[in-house]
Amino acid sequence: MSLPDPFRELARRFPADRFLTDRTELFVYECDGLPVHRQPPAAVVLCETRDEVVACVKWCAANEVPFVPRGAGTGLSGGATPVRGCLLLDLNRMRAIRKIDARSRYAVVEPGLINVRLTEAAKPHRLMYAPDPSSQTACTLGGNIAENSGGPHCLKYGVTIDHVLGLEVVLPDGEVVRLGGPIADHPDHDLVQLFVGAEGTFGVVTEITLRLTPDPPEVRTFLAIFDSMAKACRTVTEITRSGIVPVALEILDRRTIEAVEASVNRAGYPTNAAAVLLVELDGFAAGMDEEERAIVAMARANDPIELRSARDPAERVALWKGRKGAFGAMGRVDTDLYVLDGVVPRTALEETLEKVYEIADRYRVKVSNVFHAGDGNLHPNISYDGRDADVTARVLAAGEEMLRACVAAGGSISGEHGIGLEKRDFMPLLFGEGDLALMTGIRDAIDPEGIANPGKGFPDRRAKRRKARA
Amino acid sequence: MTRRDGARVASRAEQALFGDDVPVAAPRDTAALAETLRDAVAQGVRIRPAGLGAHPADSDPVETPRVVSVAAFDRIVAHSPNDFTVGVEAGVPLATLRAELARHGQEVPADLPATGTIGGWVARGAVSPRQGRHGPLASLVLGVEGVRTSGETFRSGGMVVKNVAGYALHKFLVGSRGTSAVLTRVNLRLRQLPETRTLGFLRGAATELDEAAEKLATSGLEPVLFRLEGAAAATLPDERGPGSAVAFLFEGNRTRVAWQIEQAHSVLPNPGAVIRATDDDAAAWLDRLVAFGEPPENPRADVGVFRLSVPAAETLRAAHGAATAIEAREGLAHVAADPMTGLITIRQEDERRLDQSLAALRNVATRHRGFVRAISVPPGAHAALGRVATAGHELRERVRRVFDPGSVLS
Repeated sequence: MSLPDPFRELARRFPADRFLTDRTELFVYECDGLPVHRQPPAAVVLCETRDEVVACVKWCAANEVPFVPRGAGTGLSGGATPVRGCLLLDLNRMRAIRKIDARSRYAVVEPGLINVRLTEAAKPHRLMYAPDPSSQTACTLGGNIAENSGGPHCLKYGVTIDHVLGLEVVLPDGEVVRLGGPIADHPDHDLVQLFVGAEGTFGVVTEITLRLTPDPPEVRTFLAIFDSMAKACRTVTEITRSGIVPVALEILDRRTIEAVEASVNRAGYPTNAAAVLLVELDGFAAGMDEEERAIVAMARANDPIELRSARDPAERVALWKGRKGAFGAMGRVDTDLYVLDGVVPRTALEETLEKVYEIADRYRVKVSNVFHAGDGNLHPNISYDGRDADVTARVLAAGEEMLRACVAAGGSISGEHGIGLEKRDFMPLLFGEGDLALMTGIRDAIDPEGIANPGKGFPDRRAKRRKARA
Repeated sequence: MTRRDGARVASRAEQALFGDDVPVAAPRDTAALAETLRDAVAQGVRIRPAGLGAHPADSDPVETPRVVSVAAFDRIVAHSPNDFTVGVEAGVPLATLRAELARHGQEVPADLPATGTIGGWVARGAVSPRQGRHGPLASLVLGVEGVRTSGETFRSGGMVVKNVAGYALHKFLVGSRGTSAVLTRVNLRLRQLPETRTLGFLRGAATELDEAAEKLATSGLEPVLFRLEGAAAATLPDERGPGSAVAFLFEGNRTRVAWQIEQAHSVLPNPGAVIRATDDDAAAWLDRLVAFGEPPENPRADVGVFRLSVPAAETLRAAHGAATAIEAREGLAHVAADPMTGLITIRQEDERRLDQSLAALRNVATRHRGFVRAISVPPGAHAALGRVATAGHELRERVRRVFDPGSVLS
């Protein structure tokens, strides 16, 4: 592939096997976990050090070339999708754990470290890194920072932003700044909180200081299987209202159960199951019996088909098997999967789900739901054949309407996947023009040239201007 | 004559903070607040947002030609007990919010000072004795609404407990001291009030107490834990007044609290000396500890409050460093140090120069890889203290100016 001239100069600074320009090599970088948007980058650099990132970003600034940082590419909102003519910074090789301070409960890591590796390293110190996206065995911590990722166990422990203490960032002009650190106070406006979830639009994170959490000595998991979604949702509402905070409260709906039961991750759910509620408690064993009894009583009051519980790690794995295997099982339903990510107040779960099913029926699309019920984070999953343009158009239209339903219920268009390309045009559902102007004004103040992951997170202003001119 | 900006004479508290002749605008709604801010920009007048005028912004050296009070924004607008969320206008007194939530068996899981407003509490980025257990204030803020100096309103976040749409301005603004925008509403995450609280404490020699505090901090238990010196120890319910002490509080489910108390006894070097207090005493102790770290109700020439933040492992060494630094200059130091979070509050009550104390504390902070700030110093002392440029200062200022291009609020 012929490389634009300025890129040749940058290419000379890197070994050939770390500066990729061949079309076949670029193919895997065309999209992240949202394959509806695809665009090959002009080139990919496999960065190994902070200084290499600085060199690339300075080169981009000097040559007015946009750059896109990327971790494992597991994101589901197109945050790491390349933009035309961009340099893609692959950070997977920056995966060192620089420090674990067990007494102060923090770790310093590089952005390419895979999420679960940090918990594995912290375990001998009886600590863990709490946010656990479903892709935690593949996704990187830098990507988690960019998207402010969540996970099944964030109900009790909070999402990524609640665990980030400090960042080293290469700003879009190549300047390196260190923000925050392993201390609890900050002197002023908290820039760390601003940079988490910014989707790489403020620059490239090259070092992260993360809070570590005590590894819970006791974990109890149980399943309540219901013949209606309403009963499962009601049980969630009652648990929430009781003030008990489980570490996870997850629901699988009928279509998901059917897919799971037909897959290798078969969990043995009854054939008349319409909803599976998975509850997990963790912490000290003392007092857990009372909480478990209370939760089981709430589930029983809603007439479950079956209750199951796990007391050891093996049994726990069995109970999680259906939940963990749910997304993989969707592959049996159709060739493509569109994973939505909306949030509603927890008391609005039941009515919003009904709305989601009604929308799916109206658009004639196949929706299944696997979601973090405890924090109202819905994931309607639409299975479809992406080769069929008509079906794809209906899938996207149905998805938009489902997100509108979440907003109408007092919720939001993303709980943990980010906005990226996928939902940037839905931002006006949540925010007024003034709100968006403020946020994009901040972006312009940090990145006046607009080269840091452009086009993500907010409606595309340039496209809007082009449309207006036309 | 009624003016839209609700101009009125400054209250005594406001006069004490901002001076006798400071004009106070007290707009009753967002439109009037926007007009007040636009007027200030047009006239080139600096403005200080305030709630009830209970607290000065932390160590802000800027003089205050005009105060805009949001005390009239005083409604709890959206309490959803079953969702454990609440939306509160910025001028709601903290005591009012606390009482309203308690009626539903709920709380903001942070220790609210007795005075002040929710907006002021967020703007100051106040820390809480229970921060080690429940996270910092920013983790409890789900959303904000406010007005920029251009008069434009804005919102960030929302009312749901999980939300990643847009930049997290609602968390960025926690601790911004009203220097970017005037907050008009704050949405917060709630928790159920703990079923029980038990406070244990021991007094004794400093070395033994340090050992006890460190053993508890590394025990794997979940205490609210403090090493107390001087007047900080007078917060304890044994009426022995100032001295040296370790206090630990457990809260939550009764069985779990009882078990943790038992475990705490087993790890302490001299468990026989532990004094236990009741639920009510424990709650009252938290209130007194918050008050210890707050500015005095009326600023006094001889009181300064400082907060040192270090990595948790450095807490006790830094606390001793701080006590020694101040003791050498000023006499008795009053210190409350939290070995779970590394937050150390130092209260100084004498007539010596506060700026020297701050300089000494800055040395301690540097030695222990931390940061120190003045929470409260008497009127007139701000200029002497100056400001320390911290990492990211220029970047922070660039972002701040997007909110307030004319620096009317800075």
